[in-house]
Amino acid sequence: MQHFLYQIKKILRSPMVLFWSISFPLILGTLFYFVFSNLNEASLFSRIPVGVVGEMEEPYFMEMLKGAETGEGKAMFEVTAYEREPQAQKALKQDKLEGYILIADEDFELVVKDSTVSASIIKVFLDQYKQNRALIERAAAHNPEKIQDLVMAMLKDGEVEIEDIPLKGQDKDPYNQYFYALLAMACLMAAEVGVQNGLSIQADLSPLGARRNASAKGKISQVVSDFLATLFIYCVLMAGILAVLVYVFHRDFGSSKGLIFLGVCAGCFTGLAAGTMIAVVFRGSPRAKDAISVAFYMASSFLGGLQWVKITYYLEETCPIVNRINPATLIVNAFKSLAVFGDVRQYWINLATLVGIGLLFIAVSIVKLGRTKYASI
Amino acid sequence: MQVFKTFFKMLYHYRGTVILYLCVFLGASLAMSSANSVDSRKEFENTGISFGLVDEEQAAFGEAVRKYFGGEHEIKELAYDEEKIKEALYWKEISYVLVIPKGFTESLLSGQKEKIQLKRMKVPGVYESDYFEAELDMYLSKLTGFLEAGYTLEEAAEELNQLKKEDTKVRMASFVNADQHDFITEFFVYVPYLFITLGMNGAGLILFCFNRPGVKERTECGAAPIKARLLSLTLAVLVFGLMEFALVFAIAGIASKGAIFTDVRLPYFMVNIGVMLLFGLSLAILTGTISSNLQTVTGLTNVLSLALCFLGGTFVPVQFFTGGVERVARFTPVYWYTVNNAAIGAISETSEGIFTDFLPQLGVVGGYALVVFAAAVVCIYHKRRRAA
Repeated sequence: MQHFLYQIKKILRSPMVLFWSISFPLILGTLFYFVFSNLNEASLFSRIPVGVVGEMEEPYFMEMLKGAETGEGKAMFEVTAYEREPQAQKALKQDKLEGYILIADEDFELVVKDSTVSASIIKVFLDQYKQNRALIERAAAHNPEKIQDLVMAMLKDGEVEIEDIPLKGQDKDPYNQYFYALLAMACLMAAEVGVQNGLSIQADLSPLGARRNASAKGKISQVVSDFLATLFIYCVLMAGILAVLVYVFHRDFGSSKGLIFLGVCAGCFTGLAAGTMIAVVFRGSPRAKDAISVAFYMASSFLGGLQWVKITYYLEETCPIVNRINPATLIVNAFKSLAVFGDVRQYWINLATLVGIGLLFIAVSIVKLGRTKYASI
Repeated sequence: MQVFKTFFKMLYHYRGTVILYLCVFLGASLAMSSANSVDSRKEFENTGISFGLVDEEQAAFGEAVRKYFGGEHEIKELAYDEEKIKEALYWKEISYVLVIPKGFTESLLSGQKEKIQLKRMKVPGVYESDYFEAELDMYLSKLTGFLEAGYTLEEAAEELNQLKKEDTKVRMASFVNADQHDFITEFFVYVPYLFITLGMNGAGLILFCFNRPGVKERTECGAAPIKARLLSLTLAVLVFGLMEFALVFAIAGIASKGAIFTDVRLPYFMVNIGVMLLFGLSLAILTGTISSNLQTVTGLTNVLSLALCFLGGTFVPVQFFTGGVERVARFTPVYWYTVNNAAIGAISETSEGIFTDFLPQLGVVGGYALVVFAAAVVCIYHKRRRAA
């Protein structure tokens, strides 16, 4: 117990690592909050500027294009007619248009400069127009008696409703995964403190380590005390960060707060264990071990989707084993299984794997430490 | 010269650390650029998804769906087991599940569509499934139109299969480079992340070592005046930057099998990347100057690199930014670098005055580099005066 309290005092008196562990998720969380809240607003529709070069014989084409409306009844396109293609091309180059429709021989093609969402919307509209025209032409050729009924039927709102079978989770925001990955990285950053713990028990790496090795208290028991004290502090910090994400940034981590907190604690446990193992197993200077711990949590967070959320899907197709053993992915998937799928079973599988990896790291560290002997202390 | 040489001796001493960081950040950049690069000529070609079909009635409607969607999408026949379906969605074995309940075809043919409804399961926010659903909606809308006009289900399905061939031709404007989203352009998008992280963790780390108590005091006692030391260190950092620059273009050269070296866009890319490099290096100098311990170097690197790159459009495309976020993003140099990179990527031929289009953005990034460097110099003088 004495070691436990001393370790807590020691960490609190050298707060730089803890400062970055707190400030990193809070600063980045604030940034994500503003960027991703805005991305949802970005999906709100604004009129798409589209040019038309040439004329169709049938007058309906321009009328339909100008009259096209969104579901909210707003005009879909801002149409500008051009006499010649170079004029439209110039407007496209100057970003005044998203694309232009080039009409020739009663057919048309779409000219764009990039495959944007707006360009896709123009294409879908043109496809619909083309298919409806072909539909009427085919009906006129093969079933002229049905053409009137067909036109009437197509004009009616013939949509078939598709009933949604909801997944059991509540999270409907796809950008939440960035927050899950951020929290995963914050948990794994505990590896840096884990490295300090590992260094402070090795007699050849720090004067403190030499004194502690000369102590009457067993080495393993000191390691365990250090570990538990650091884990305790980290869990308290992460509870604070989680509270900010849930109550200030209104992120949905699912309904069971206890399970979410448990997930965060398991993440910190594995992060700390990884740091301890890096300090004990790898040879080299303290700086080199620090660098390995940073590389560990940065690489793990990248694979967990911090910078690029789709990587977990990509890995699932190309190398699924990475998703099963990467600590950051396991943390992200544990949160996702609760928040999106409401799937407690999958949550426990992720958590058990995560804790299992942490236990493996600790076991390796203990075996290595137990075998380390010093010629003279 | 002694200071200059010492910088590289220390860099050699810390080579393991720097190479480790290089592997992580370069690996991440390459993975993202490789996955995001596309051939613009093929971008409007339809891409299929893998969707699950739970056909509980095994009737004509299910057959029509299989025939219409089976060509471009992969259909996986499933039994209705919610747990198994959730697991398949969770691991993205499928992106969307369509359930055809018993009696659906009959209710569709009798005109009572609302009597028995189709059901679906999907994960919110997965774009592929949203696009597929839009396609399905249009199919159903037309199908019901045909049925109401007196067509049989088989006739309607056949008509729809024929109509599917009516597709609008899309082409890129002649002034656009079809390689605008090629691997090189995409790789260069991630270069700011590489320069900032590697600069701060590499050059920043060495400069931090120069400023450590003990080392700093001994250096101050040396014969070299502060201006000469600063100049030597700045030169050393610039040479470090040149190594980064060479590395980036060596990778680009290997990835493009040398094509980048004859590419019309090369000089513009080089200038844009060169100016971004100056910004990364000036951040490294500032970090090495103000950090009091290694945790601060790592912490500053993590926060600044991720924050600047997220806001600058490296990880999330700038085209998604609107309103306030875009206004804030405009204050970051990475944003202007990204804007320039996209514009350079789209160049298909050089013309007089094209360079002037990029100058304002280059000016902003270069200005930031200068301001950050000036801040670092001020910090050095201020620290020195305080210590005196």
